[in-house]
Amino acid sequence: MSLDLEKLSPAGQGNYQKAVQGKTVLENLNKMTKDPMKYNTELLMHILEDNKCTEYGKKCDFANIHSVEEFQKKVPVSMYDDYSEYIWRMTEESEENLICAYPINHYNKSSGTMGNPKRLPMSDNSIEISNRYLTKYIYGLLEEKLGDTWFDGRSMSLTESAAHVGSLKCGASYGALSVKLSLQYRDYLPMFFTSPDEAAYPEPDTNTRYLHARFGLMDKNITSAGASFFSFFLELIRYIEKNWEILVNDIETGTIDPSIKMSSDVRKSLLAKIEPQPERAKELREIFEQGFDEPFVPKVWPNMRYIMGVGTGGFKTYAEKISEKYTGDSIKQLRMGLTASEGLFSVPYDLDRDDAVLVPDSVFYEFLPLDAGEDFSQIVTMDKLEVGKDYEILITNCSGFYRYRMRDAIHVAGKYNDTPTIEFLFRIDQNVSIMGEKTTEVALRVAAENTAKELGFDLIDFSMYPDLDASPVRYLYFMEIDNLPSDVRPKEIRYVLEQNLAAANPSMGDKVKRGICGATKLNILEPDTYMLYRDLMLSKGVASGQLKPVRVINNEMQRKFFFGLTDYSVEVVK
Amino acid sequence: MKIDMKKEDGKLLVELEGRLDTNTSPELESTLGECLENAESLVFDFEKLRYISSSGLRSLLVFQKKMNSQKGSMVIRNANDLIMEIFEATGFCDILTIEK
Repeated sequence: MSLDLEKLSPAGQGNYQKAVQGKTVLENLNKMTKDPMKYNTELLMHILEDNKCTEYGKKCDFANIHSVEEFQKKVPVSMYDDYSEYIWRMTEESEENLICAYPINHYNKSSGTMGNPKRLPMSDNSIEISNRYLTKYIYGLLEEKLGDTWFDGRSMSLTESAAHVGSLKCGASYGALSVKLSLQYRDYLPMFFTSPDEAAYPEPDTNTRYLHARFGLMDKNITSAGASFFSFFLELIRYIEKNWEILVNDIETGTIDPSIKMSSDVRKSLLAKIEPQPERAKELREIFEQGFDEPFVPKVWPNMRYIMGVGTGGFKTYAEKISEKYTGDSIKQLRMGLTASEGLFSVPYDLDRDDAVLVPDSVFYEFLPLDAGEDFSQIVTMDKLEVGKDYEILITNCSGFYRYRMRDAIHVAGKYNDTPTIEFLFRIDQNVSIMGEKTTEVALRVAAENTAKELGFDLIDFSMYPDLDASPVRYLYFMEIDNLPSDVRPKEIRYVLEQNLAAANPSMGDKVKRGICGATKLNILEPDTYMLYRDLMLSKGVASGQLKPVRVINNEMQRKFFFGLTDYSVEVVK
Repeated sequence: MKIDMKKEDGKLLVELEGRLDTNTSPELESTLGECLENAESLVFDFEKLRYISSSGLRSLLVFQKKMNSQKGSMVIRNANDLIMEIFEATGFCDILTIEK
């Protein structure tokens, strides 16, 4: 890094600092990945030593555990319900030293994908670990892979912090940690990000898509973009594609079109921040008038080097669509590893990759092979993982969870140095098995994506409902689609989907063939249905960073919602 | 879609006729726009509204949030059975005030 620091913009200087700090973390991780079990075992022994006087530590005799084997004998495998009573006492009666000796000043509100939100303790130690990797390591990695080409420009961040961070009876904060942390840096955000405060902390009726797009387009020198999930970035790019004329006109005249929703106070505040940019508008108009057959993002932002967000698992579809249609190969993707409310488990070690490397000093890892059922004797540590196999991940963290079943399925993709690299596969509880066929989220996704590819339409999003009221029982897909070629008939979509589902899960194909399961039904949703779902959830207080795609419809609210907004159905009638 | 709007003091009455969908909801959002500023109550009369789509529901959500933020009220009146079914199916019954 031989830059003239004084010539860098504030964003450039900030990025430089983060890269410098990140380099140290990167070097340390590289060292640990050459002997990961040593560091992972050291972490476990530290956790047990520090927590031996907690109620849980005494119960499990942490004080007399000196090896991983002893740990596995003395400490039971656990789930959230095993801690809920302790957590109630911690949060409602301010009791300490129950499951964790480290200070806990924050409880994550889980996204509640599988039911009611949970209170997940996050100790100061766990927060420090997450920060070390998410705000330092990542930038060290970017510097290693892209050099300093991305330093001197702001990022288009689509993160919105509309969700509320509350407090619990014990005084700790409760909500999404990302929202809490971002508030600490609120005043500095304009130096690093293009979106204005009015979009990052929006009032309920503000059209934030317009604001992210508008302020992003105004800055030609953007070097990166970031969002919690790649789906948000795709949504924004599609918004620009559809609304570029309004956006460009507004940039030209320094105004905000009256049709764009926001309060008069917000409009006034924003208008004070913008000036007419006729040159930039002319440049953008020339680009957009060429059409959208070729990726337009590199033309609009010629210095953009990378996009960062969760782009694996259920978000893979979006990441691929972005690259294929909008950015091309020149803009790299930094697909974040596996992070949950319980901690950080893996981080990317290269760009444009789906797998990420386990972090030996973050949590202690154990893995249960997916085909082992509930046979805990088959649990292995990270050094015993087999490349190519799928496992459920269990963690022991610095926040009071021991041998905790995450219910996340991962695939061991390979190794980075001597440390396994993993890909998130699916939430185990979201597997569908109406007749023993065990269809994973991945199979559902692959079937839908391949159908869109083969027939040449844009798949905006999809969900699947296990229709147990039908006879025989069957899968019912919901799809929101765009740009359907005029010669493709709806019954063709259903047929191709059925074939692709059979290819993705032969067991399901076999069951349909033998009449054990009925032929798959397809419901085509009205335009904007998934956007409405997202808006509805946000209005109910779900943090944007926790709003995951609905792959399997598993509650009555979702069922009624998607049935209610079905445009038409396609099914095989006997 | 036809939009008929009457404003009296802080009360805004909006009568809709036709379909509220992808094509017409931007027009409704634009028309109501600034009129909602400082409105204490917003009343939609859906007697002549035949249909509402996902896009229309998104507009209602925007208006509801706006009214909530300025501590005002929003009421929907005279929705037909089809629209009521959509409200019920999508869970909008729980977040909107609907009068028959």
